[in-house]
Amino acid sequence: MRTVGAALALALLFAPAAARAQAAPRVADERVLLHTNAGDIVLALYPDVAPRHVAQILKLVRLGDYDATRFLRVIPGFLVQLADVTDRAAPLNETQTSAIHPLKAEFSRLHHEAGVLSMTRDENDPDSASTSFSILLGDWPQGDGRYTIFGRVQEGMEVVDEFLKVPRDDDDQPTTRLEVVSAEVVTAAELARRPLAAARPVTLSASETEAAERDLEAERGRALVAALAVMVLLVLAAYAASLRWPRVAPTLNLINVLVGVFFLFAALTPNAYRSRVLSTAIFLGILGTFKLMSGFESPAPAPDRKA
Amino acid sequence: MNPMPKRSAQDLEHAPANAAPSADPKRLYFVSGPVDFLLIGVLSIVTFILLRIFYTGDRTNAVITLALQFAWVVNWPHFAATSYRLYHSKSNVDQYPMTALAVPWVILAGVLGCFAFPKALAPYFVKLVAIWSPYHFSGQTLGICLLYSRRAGLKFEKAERFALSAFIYGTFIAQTIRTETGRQMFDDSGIAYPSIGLPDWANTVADAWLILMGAVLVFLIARWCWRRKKAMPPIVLLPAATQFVWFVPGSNWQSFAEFVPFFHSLQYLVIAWSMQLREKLDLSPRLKPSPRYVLTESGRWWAINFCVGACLFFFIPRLVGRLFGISEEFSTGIIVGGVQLHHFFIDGVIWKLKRKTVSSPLMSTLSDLTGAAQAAPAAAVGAAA
Repeated sequence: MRTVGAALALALLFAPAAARAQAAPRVADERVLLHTNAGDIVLALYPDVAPRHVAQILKLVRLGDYDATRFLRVIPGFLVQLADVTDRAAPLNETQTSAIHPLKAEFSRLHHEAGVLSMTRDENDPDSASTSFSILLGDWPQGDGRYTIFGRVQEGMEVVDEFLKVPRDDDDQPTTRLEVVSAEVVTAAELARRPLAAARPVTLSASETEAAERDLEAERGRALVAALAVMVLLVLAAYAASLRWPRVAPTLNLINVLVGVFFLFAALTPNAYRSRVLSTAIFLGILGTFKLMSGFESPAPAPDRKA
Repeated sequence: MNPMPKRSAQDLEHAPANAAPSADPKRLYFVSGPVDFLLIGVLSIVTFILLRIFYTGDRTNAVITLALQFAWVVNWPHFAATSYRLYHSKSNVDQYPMTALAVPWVILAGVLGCFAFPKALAPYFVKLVAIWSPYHFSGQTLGICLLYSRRAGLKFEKAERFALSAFIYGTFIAQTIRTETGRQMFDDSGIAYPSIGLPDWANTVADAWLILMGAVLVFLIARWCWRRKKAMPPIVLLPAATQFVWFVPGSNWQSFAEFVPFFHSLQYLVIAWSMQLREKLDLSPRLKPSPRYVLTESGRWWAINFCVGACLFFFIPRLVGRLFGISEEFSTGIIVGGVQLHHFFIDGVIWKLKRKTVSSPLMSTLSDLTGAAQAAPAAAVGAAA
C-alpha cells in the first residue's frame, strides 16, 4: 500500500511538469480580452506559429472590429464558432473594413484540442481565413495541418460552458444571442491586475425572460400541488402505520419533514438573497434537518429467541 | 466438520465483544501505522501540499480526468459498499426496514419529481445533495476519530468530544457559508442553482467559531495529555486535521478540491473493507483467518462494489437518459444525486459505534484476519522452547 501511495504522490507531482513541457509555442505578451454576455474570455496568441493571423487579429481588436460580434455556432464536444466580423450587429466603418484581409494559411504541427483557437476558412480555399475563428471544445485531429491554429483560451472556458447551456436550433445556432460585447488588447501585466468578469448564465432578451418566468411559475405551481399530495399521503401512511407498526410511524413522519423542508427549500431559495433573515433561516433549517435525519431509524430489536 | 450453526448479525449484538477496546498499541491500526496514516489522511495532506507548490489551483482537464479515473475504482465502489453492507443480508434489511425498503422509494419519487419539474425542483435537489455531502463527510470524520480513540483504548470526556465535534462540523459550516454567501450561481451536470445568499457577516462568525473551537480542542487535548502523562496517538486526531485541510485551505485550491471525494471514499473503504472481512469471518464458521481469505474476500467484495458502482453512476443514468429522452448530463446529475442521498441515509444508521455489532468487528486488525495474530504467539512459544 505504501508503494501505491508513493506512486500516486509521484504521479501527481510529475504529471503537471509533463503537461507544461508540451506547451511549446511562445505566447505573445499581448492578450485578447473578450467581454461576452456570459463573462470574460482571455485569448493567448502564438505569434511564432501564425504571425500574420496574430497580427491581423490584434489589429482588428484594437480597431473595434470584434465589438458586437456573435458566436454563430455552438456544438458541444466540438467547437463554438465566432462569426465573421462583417456579420456583427453594428456596421463596420471604413477603417475597420479596410483592415480586413484574407490570410495565407499558416498551418502547423499543433493539435486541435480543447481550448485551441482555430481560424475558420472556406473548405476549398486554405488561404481564405480572415476574422472568424473557433474555440475547440475537444480533440479534432481532422483539423490538424488543415486549419490555422493561432492561440488558445488562457482563461474563461467556464464562460464557454455557459454558451453550451443556451438552447440551439437544428443548425446549432444558439436561439439567444451570444455576443462579444467588446474586445480589447491587454498585456499580461495589465491582465494580472484586472479582475475578470466571472462566468454567468447568458442574459435572455426581455420577451425570452418573460416567457421563461411564466414557465417557471407554472412549473412551481404544479410542483407545489405534487408536494402537498405527497405530504398528505405520507401523513395518512404514518397514521395507518401507527395503528399496526408503531415503530415505523416516527420514521414516516421524518420522511414527511424532509419532503416538506425540501419543498420549502426549493420555493424560498431563489429569492432568499434578498432577505438576510430568510437566507439565514434556510441555512439553519437545512442544518437542523440534516441533524434530524442522522437519527432516522434505530435498529429493530432482536427477534424473541424463545419463540 | 464445524457443528456451529451459521450466525446472523443480530446474534453478535448479544455476543460478548470479541475484541474489546484495548490500549495495546499493536491493535491501534487496521493494517499498520504507515498504511493507516497514509489512507486516513497523510496522502490527502501531502497531495494538497504538492499541488499547492507545483501545480495550478485551477480545475484543469488533467485533474478532472484523473479524478474521474479514481471515481471508477474508489469513489463509486465506496457508495456501492454502503448499499452492499445494508442489502447483502436479510438480517441487516430486517434491522433497518425503513432505510432499506422505504427510503429508496422516497428518493425515487424525488428523482422522478426532478425529471417532471426540471426547473422548479431539480436545481434544489442537486443543491441539497451538494450541501449534505460535506456534512456527511464531517460525520465520517468524527466517526473515524472516535473509532481510533476506541482502538487506542482511550475515551473522550464530554467537553473533549464536544470540541472535536464542533471543530469538525465547524470546518463544514465555514466552507458551506463561504460558498453560500452573496448571490452566486453554480453548475452541476449542467443544472444551474443559486447560492442561498447568506449575509457577509456569517463568514466572520463561522471563521471565528472555527478558530475558537480549534483553540479549545488544542487546549483540551494538551490537558488530556498532561493529565495522563502520555501523548494522544496522532491518528486519533488525524481525520479532523485532514478534514480541516479539505474544507478550509483546500477548498480554495480547485485542483485539490476535485480529489477530496476520492480521499473521503478511500477512508471509507478502509473501514468498510475491514468490517466486511471481520463480519464475514464471524458469521461463517467454516472460514478461517488466513492471507488467502483476506485476498479472495477483498477481491470479491471490491469487484462487486466496482460493478454496482459503475451501474449506479455510469450505466443507469445513461440508460435512463436514453430511455426517457432526457439529456445524459441531466439524468446523470439527478440520479447520482439520488444515489448519494441514499448513501447518506444508510450511512447515518448503519455505522453507530455505540452498537456492538458495529464497534466489535471494527476493532479487528489485518493480523487478526490473516491469522498472523494467532500464529505469532505460537511461533514465539516454539522459539522459546
